[in-house]
Amino acid sequence: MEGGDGAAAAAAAAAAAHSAESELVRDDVTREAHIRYFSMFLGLVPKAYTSLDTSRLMMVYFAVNALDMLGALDRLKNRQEIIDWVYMQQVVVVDGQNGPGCGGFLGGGFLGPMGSCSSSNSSNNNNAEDEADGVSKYHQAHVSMTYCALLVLAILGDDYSRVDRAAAVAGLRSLQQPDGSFQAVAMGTENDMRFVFCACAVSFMLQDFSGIDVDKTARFILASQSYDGGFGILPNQETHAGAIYTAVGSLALLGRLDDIDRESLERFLVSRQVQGFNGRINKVPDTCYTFWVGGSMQMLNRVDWIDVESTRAFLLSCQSPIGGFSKHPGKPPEAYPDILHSHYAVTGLSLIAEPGFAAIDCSLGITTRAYSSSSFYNKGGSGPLTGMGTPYRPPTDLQVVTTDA
Amino acid sequence: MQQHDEGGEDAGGYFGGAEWADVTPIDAPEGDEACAQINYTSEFAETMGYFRAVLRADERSKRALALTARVIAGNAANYTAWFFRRECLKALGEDLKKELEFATNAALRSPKNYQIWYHRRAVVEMLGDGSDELEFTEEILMDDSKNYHAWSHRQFALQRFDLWDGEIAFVEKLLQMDVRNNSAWNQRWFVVKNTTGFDDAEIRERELTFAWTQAKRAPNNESPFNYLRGIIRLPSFVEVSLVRNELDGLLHYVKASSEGHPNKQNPPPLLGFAVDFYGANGEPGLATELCDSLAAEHDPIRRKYWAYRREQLTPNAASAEVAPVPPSAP
Repeated sequence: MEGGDGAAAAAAAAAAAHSAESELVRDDVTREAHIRYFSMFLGLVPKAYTSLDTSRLMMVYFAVNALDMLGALDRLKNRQEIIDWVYMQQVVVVDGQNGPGCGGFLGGGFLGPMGSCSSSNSSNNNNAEDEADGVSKYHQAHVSMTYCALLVLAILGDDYSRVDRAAAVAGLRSLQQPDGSFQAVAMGTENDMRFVFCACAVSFMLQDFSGIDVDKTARFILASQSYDGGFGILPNQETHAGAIYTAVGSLALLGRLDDIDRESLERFLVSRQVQGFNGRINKVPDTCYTFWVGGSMQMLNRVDWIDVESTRAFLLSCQSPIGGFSKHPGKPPEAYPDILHSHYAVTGLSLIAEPGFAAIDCSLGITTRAYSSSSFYNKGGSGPLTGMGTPYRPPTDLQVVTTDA
Repeated sequence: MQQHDEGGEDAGGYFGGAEWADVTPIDAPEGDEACAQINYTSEFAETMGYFRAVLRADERSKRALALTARVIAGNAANYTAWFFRRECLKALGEDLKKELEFATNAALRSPKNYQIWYHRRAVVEMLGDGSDELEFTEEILMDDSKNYHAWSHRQFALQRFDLWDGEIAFVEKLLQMDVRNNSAWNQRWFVVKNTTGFDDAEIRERELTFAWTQAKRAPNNESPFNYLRGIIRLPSFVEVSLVRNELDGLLHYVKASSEGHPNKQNPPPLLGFAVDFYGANGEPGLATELCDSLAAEHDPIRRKYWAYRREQLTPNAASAEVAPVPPSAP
């Protein structure tokens, strides 16, 4: 009955996954190795990461956030230096050069120093004597980097007092497209669900939704729900768990989760577990989808459908002896850890309540500790603030995953 | 020119000659507090220094164009280099067909890079000519039939240049090669939706029959069952008995062939589809039974989900929530 090369390939993949499972499952999380691994990314990073030169803030978010999940933030001796470095990436908006509409953050210093920025330690800055004289028309914020910057600042307890809010909000306004989607940079990039989510998250963290047209944004997201219940990164595209996470996260932060076709989305999500989780139908499992799928399930209050033991066994089969996690099961030289998969494996372990891992709020992907001590959390008692509509759930009220009955 | 575009010269001497003598590179010094500082090669660090200087001067020249190729060769994800490259192309009136070749070579080297695909799309838009795009995306898909970027670009080209004619045949070829290629299933939905639509009964019947034929080839494949779900939830769907006959037949076949093999699991995608269909079409008893066997035997990794579905199907629970699948999203 089963026919075709595809079926044979799938069977072979399943068999390989099975033998990998029995050989490679390790019992314990090697916490100290992970703490060392993530700490490395706050210093000098190997040249293999050159492709992330425009996204260094993302690596900083991954590192700081994973350390918070591991309960190891107190090991950071240079918290203020990290905060100052993040502020150094804030785009200085200069009329006649890049202003207005380019506010927010860059992912690193790849365009060179902008001159005097809002950093407190401008004495370290070579161009400080001539204010902002390094700014060119090409110094334009990238919305994913603005998102990462605000996350890192929240995790480290900064109160956003040095964030140029007006410029960041105006920056979002210049990114929204006629169809409601967002591009990443004002000069022109691809537009899709990733940047919609970043725009929603930035608006949420700044508690200012005036930079985005909320109705148009929601319409774009709903138009991207597929016939199978999932979401593509654009309308008509294949359902992909990363796109689902960003779509569901956007709607959660906008208070619009009730607008989706929920039953078919839930079925699509729960079907992704094949020991670990895959991101698309008939693909092999990958550590990062633990978060994209599991995080979406948390926002839908369905995290208890996850098979915790299988998830844990899969993640541990991807654990590297030198710290970190690889995308697929194995250890060097057949599988090497990388910062992205390591980070999402750690958030996955937080999600399934692995002992020693802090609880996570998946709408922003940070610990509930960071969330509830942030400037966007309403300390008056009514839980998190949201843009419009009803909050999806206060982080102090998270479902706790229990192991099987 | 071509040589420069490929960034293929000897790295050590690139900036040493007369061509770059008038440019002072701009460094990007960072102190000890730098986070996630990448340990660049010295060649790439030098290239970036000149790139910053060219950006600063906004110099849209031949040498600047060649320099962007060098930056891209070191880091194809540098979106500013790609943007500035397009600025140079426009200012210099370069041959865009040649630029498409540059984009082709870049995509063949890094087929999963967002910036390369966006550049290709921008160049195709500037040219106003999408005649190479189906052939090019096919070349990429023959190597990786699920490449998300290639499918996305293909959808853009089909819509922008109205190239629908052979697309159903292309999808069928890919599904013949791999019936589990969900990207191809999605493309089929996309093509039908944007050409004939599903309102015509003949089209619906053709699509239902196609999906069932493929489901029989591999009942453990989620793709055709989701395709069927998509058709069933259309407002125009009326072919309940066709679906019921096919479903009854395939379930019977699968059960019969597993008889005498007590440990053989029945395919969860088929059984899960049956839960939805029977539950929504007046046979909650059958659906409940299937939920139980999925939870206990055929799909235990999702036992909590199947227990939830069972609960939804029992009369004194919220049975109102079970019945017809809601209309599709706009």
